[in-house]
Amino acid sequence: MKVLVVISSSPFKGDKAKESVDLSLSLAAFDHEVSLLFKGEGLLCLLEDHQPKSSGLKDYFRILKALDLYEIESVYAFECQQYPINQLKLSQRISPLWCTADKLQELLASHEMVFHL
Amino acid sequence: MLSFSVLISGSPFQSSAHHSALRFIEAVYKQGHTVNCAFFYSEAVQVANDLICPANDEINYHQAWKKLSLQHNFPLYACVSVANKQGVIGKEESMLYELSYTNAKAPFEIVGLGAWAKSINDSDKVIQFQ
Repeated sequence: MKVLVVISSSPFKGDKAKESVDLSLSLAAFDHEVSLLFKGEGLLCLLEDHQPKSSGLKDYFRILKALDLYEIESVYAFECQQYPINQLKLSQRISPLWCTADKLQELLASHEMVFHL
Repeated sequence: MLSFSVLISGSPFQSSAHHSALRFIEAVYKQGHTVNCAFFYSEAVQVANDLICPANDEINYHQAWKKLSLQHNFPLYACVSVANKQGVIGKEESMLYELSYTNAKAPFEIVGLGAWAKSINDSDKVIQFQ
């Protein structure tokens, strides 16, 4: 199945971003074709220079480096003015395809399933 | 006749996910379709806790799920990693962590995410309640 997992939660606010990544990896391990879409506060997952350990948090986003091992190749980021994150330095771990509002519908329609925690 | 996989991710206390999902599943059976599983993930796993005790005149979603699942014979799965983190413990993990109690019992089952990945393969339709 072609599945899109939408991540819109900050990696520093609760567990939803982590749970979304876990869900994606698990679906991919069971041979689903998984794409990720980061939007809103979820875009923070893509920033470079996270130092979660400096405040005692687990650096679970190291796992994002392993996306290609799970054959998750399509990673999208939704551009919006509220989070002008494309002007900031992004992690070398992933290079997302930037998606604008007019392309969003097309992106959603190209997947058989969409999950959003 | 169609089969459904139902993902519930919203909290039983802070969202309408459980209320909507229960009503949806009732309608599914009323129309002659079936449910392969209800899978609780994220904050929704809290509903597997059998110590939930709301006031008498409020809906007890733990009991509501139990009743519907036994009535129609579909499984209730809660994701093990999220459930354990939130203090929802089945028999196996109780032994693993050497705890003296469990609070997640049949018909709720504490399972891995793989159960969900498999279930969506075997279903005609997939729906999420957030």
